[in-house]
Amino acid sequence: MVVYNVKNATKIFILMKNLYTICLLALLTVSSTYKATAQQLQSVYEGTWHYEDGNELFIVSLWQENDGTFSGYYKKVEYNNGTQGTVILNSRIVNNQGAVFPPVIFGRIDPENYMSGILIDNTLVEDVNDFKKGILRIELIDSCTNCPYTATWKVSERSGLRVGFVPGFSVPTDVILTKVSNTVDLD
Amino acid sequence: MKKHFKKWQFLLIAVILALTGCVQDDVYFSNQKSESEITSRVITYQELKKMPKAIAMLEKLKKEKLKKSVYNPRYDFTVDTTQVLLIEIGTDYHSLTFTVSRDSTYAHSVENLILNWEPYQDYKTFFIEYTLTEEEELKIANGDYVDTKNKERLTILPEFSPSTILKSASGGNEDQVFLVNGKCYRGMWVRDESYTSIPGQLEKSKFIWVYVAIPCPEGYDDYSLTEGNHPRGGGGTYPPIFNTPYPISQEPVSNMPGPGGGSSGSPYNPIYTKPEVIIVNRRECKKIKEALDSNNFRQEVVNLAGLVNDPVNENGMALYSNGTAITFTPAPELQVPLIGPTPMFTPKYTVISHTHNTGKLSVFSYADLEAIARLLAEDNIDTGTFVATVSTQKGTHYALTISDTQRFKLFFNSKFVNLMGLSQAELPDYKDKNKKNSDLEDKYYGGSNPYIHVNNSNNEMVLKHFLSFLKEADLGVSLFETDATFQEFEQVSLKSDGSIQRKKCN
Repeated sequence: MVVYNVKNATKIFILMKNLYTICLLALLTVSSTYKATAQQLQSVYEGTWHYEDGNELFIVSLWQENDGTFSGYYKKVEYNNGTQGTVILNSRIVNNQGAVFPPVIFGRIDPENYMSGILIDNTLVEDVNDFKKGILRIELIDSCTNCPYTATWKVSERSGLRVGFVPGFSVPTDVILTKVSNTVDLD
Repeated sequence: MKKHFKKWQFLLIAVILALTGCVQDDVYFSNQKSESEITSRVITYQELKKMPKAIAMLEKLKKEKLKKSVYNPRYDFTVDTTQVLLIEIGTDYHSLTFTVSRDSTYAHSVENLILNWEPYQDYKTFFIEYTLTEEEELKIANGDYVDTKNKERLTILPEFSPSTILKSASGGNEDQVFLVNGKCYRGMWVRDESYTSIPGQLEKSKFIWVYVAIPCPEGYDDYSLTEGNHPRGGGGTYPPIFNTPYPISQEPVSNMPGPGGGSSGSPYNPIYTKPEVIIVNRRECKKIKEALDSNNFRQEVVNLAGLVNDPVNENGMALYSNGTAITFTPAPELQVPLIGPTPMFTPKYTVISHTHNTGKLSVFSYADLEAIARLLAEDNIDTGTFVATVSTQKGTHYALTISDTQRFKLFFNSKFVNLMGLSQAELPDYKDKNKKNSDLEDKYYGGSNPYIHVNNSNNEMVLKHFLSFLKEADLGVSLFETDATFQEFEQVSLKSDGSIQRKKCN
């Protein structure tokens, strides 16, 4: 016959509960910028992504709209010793009347689980009305556990007639982005 | 002969009015039938051939058309017998509704020919004209319901019906005013009932001939007046007026050569029909014909179509509004130069033709359309004349016109709006349009497996998706299919069931 010590059992229960809470908090913290081993965030594409190129930092901000599609902006800043400096280009253009250029990234999750969409390059030429569209593809890369999320960022030319064509884009066209935050800072 | 006819006309009107008693303001001549068994379906020419009387009537019409220049310009049309709407009520009644196209210039109306089965076992021939918006026409073409009340005008083709006598005197039949016992009446076809409560039969309209009491025109209520002596004289621009002394005919109506002709004596029967639309937009067809005829540019387009197998480059040409043809520099992605302003005269693009070589789409790409929008924004295009063509290595050849400039501009809104001048209040609308634009591009042309893809070798399927895109984008363009000769064009559009409808340009 087994007799349980109620007092000890209660202590063990409280200890386990605290441990569980600590583990849960830790897991949530890790999953905010790092991959979790057993937990997949619903929209891992949401957040801030970086690509460092020498003294320049390319920053992509993505968020999910109510209809499930993704929107976003990009910008490029000077970058020295981990510190962001002067803005080189910013797609979130504000006109004289305070109106903000609508998001320049439109995406949706493709059945093959990458994000496909359209990039509006509004920083290629001086005239903001004369923006150029490109085909965008962002695809998560499977890498090590507990590493930051990484994803390929590819922008390609569209096929078709061209009027006033300017070759290339003002943004990187084939790089690997690293996720640095689940939040978006548009300033 | 005409004089003889007029005599009969007076007699007949009198008899009709006498028989109906004129006790009501509206005098109906109808033969009501059960409405519960109405069915309708589209039949082909093969089925139509099994109706010898209908064929005979059409043949008669065909012969009459040959005399149009001397006889009556109203017969200057072509009847399409390939798709005919058959409406039946049980086994006793049916009507055949044909689409009609005019040889003359584009007029914004829908016209149908109706053969209406009469109780005396023959057809009466009617002509109905609907004044509809383009959107309503498209709805009808897509099988959607449009209430045509107050948008239709039904007339009889008198030379093909026993009712000739009522119609032959002036030609403007509905304008005739009949004076009976000091009261004036005007005969007209009116919509009797709209069967909106019958599931599946929402679209049908029934017409009956009605004499409606009207206020007598000034000076016309004198009982003693006759056609020859009314105050303003007969004919002219005034409604002809016929004073009928209300004689009682001794002759049965059924024996008379008027509306009651035939064996039944029933003067007029209800007519059941619904609008049948030729979706082909004659204005756009004409645009293509004129553009390609200009400076023999058709041959240039035909030659261009021979370059679709270029392993590297797209090829293209353009025709300016001043008749000059230019060749674009071949390139993997063709560049169309903007036409800059000149001091004297700035030409515009009338035709832009290009190829999709190996590895390219079988239809216009999204960027093709966007390039056209850019040219329009730069005032390099006059949508009233502009035609774009594409010939592809996949064996397809298309022509595209902008039939609704406003809708086209609305979709490519960003090309026509100065972003830097937008106020914060205007921004949400701009944002919505911009998002719709990009979402649709991504849906149809983007992603790993888009609807419109270079790897899809099923041209018909790609065309369906392209038409679906045009419809969803509400782009206001018309698309035409042709072959490498660019001689004959068929407008292609999407039916509500997802199938492709093809209508030949006349």
